[in-house]
Amino acid sequence: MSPISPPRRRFLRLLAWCSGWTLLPRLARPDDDRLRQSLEELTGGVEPAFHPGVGLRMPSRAVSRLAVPVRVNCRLRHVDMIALLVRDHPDPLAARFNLSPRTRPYIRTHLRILKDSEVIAVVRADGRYFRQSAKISVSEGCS
Amino acid sequence: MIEYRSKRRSDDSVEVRLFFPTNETWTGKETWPKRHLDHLSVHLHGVLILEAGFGPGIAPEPFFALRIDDTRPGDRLEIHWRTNQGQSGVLEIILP
Repeated sequence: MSPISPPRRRFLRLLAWCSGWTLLPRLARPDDDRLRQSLEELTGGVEPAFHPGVGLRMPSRAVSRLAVPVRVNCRLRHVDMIALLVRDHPDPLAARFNLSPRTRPYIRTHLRILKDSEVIAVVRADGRYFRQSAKISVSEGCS
Repeated sequence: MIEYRSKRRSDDSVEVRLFFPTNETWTGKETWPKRHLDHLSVHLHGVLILEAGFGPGIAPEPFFALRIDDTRPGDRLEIHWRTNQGQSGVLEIILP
């Protein structure tokens, strides 16, 4: 088996690079654009960091798509905002809670999730933004 | 009409659960709801302690639970809610 000649290797590299640039924008889903826009509006353009102190608990398989139970329980201090976003929704920001110091950073609610998706919890603590996410499958549940 | 349940926990915080039942029947085939809960605010003795805004991604029959610190039995909690079509209401709870 003969090794690939350098010009051919260069051509293959160029082809891979070009196809990546032309195909990637098509593969990017409009849902991601909406999610990115909602996140930017929520955080003012700051990218929230993943933090294990943001506890997001929800079932991996939903029993009902109309009421998926979600619980956010933070172990961070000075939390004054909790938001829940659903990736594949036309309007990803499902709920936003502004908390006072008398309210614990603990929220339970039910979301409407119509197809397999990802729920993202964004928390503001001490002026910094953190996030946690969990995937959910609703395709096997009841209506 | 809101259904609620409040319970004082062992760590002296109070958990308040709110449920907004509707008389509508949901098949799950509706693509997107026309009416949904839009705004909710919780006041303790007239002081705002929680404010929430919702999109159509909230459940058609919304449910919430929150925990409040530094309360005494008999404290008065007011919950104001509003839908995106302008319906609104107030619920008053005396904490346990």
